[in-house]
Amino acid sequence: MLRKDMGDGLQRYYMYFHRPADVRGTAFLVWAHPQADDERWVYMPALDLVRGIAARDSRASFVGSDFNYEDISGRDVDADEHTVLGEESVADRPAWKVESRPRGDAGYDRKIIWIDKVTALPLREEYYGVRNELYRVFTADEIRDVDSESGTVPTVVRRTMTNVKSGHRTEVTFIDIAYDAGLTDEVFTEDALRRPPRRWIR
Amino acid sequence: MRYSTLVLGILSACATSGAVGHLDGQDIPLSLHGFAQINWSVRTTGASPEAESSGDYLLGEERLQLELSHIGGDGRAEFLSKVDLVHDAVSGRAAVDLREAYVDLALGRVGVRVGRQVITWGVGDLLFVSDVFPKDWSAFFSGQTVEYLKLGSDAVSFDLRAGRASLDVVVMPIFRADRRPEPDRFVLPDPFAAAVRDYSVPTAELEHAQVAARVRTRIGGADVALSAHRGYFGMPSARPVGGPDAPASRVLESHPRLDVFAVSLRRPALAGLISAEVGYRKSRDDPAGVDPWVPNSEIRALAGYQRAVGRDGVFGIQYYLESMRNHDLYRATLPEGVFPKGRLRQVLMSRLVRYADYHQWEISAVAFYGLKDGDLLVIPTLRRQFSDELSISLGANVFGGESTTPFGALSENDNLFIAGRYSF
Repeated sequence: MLRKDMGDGLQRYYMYFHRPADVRGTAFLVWAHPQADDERWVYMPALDLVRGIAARDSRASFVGSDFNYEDISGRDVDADEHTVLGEESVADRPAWKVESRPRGDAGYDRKIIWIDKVTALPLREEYYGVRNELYRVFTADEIRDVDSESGTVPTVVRRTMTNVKSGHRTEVTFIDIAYDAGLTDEVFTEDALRRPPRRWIR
Repeated sequence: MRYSTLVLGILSACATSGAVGHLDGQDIPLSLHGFAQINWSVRTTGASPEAESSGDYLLGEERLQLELSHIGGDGRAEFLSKVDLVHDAVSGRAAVDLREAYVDLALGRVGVRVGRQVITWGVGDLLFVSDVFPKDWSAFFSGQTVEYLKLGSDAVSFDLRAGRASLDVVVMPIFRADRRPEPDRFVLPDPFAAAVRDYSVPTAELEHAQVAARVRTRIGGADVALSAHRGYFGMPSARPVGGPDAPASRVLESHPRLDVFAVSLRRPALAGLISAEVGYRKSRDDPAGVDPWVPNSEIRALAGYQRAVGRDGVFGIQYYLESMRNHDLYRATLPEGVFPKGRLRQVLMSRLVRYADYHQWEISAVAFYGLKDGDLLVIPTLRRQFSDELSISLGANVFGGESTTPFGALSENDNLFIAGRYSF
């Protein structure tokens, strides 16, 4: 997965699948716009086909996991109304406890987020439905300092999304992380879906 | 309970960065992947084709695909080959099918790919306007997995990035025809069934090379492409030898010359994604439209819309149009006894996909419906992913309409298919 921050909250993502074998070579491109619908493309190598992916429903599951597209490419901070409920530690890390209620249509009625006071990373998120039932929990399981040109960057290297009702969970582990990797704008184009940028994608 | 783990390697970069990526200087040794697959399809109508050996079976194959690839030269050069070893239980024959084999070079802003390669253009879903690259409709209608709809082109392709635009140029020196349903497997109405057939393809001479070019860019949040192609119809046309009035005892099938000019657009809109494509197909061997044995020039157009439905569903719909340019002349020159095509062919296509249980189940329905002529093709499919490696699909092709409409002509070939695949 490659990510480039373009400024003004605009982010671009490139995701390439090495495994499992039946989707090897499949690549996703996301242009995340903070104020508008994200744009997404998928490349299917067997057909040499670049297809757009219908964008609005950010609740759509990302490749059949417990994560939604929105969990991967981020949610606009202004899409929710936030209230600080207080302070509470998560695994001995002091955190702000914040309640967020969506201003518009969303997959949840409200969510409670614990934000690390030191790193400003979300440590835990609880999603509640319309009947106030907890149905989804996000946890940042491991945070590590990763070197960058401007010093170390606290980074969530392992995170889990759990479906509370079914007990099913998806764990994401980042095993090889680098910042300031010299990503060019060309990496985040249709051309790069067809011809993966091998400097970063091996 | 199935426990799934996504393991991602991440490289992130800030816009200000300029450092060198740390993967430079590594070559990837030869890698071997592929799949083993069984793919059977049985005709449910009881009809038998001309070649009775195939009986009720449209497909009965075991297939091993071996994909060898190597990346070298700091990632600037790549080799890939996909070879299928196929045993066809219906004919009892075994074959080697070279699906793809190419070398790929990235030279700064220019990419060059030489060899057999699968190429797909346009924004349609199973409907093609600007895409002139070879297709295997026989595979598609008999229930082979969808990637077998596309055949590799023997081509040299270039792509050039210049600012916000990209230029693709594909030169295909050696013609590769579309594969259509043939009477050895399919039950087909054929006006020339009793005739002796001669078949000619554009020979491998430089002057017969096909060329396609496309410019892609983004305009106002839309992906826009303009394309042009000079080459041949992928499907052959049959011509009675000895003039239109002679008894059709001998026919010559050949590929008339074709130019295609097209424009396509795709952008997010209406809480989903809209797409549109318009093309003009100029029949260069019969620009006036007076030869009844050569397809007339026509306009093709499509408009599509797709959106996500809930957390695990996709809905798409497309309207597709073919409009013959010189229909009056076509009608005037058509010999007695040949069923005339209409001026317009209009098709509605819909796709519904629903996933369940973390994409371990996929149920989908694709339907094509000909407006006014009642032409019909419905493809329901159920797919179960048993593990990362193993999946099984069950499905059907159901045809309807008149024997004179494209899908209706196949109505004796309704089939049930199964495909089991182990990927490695």
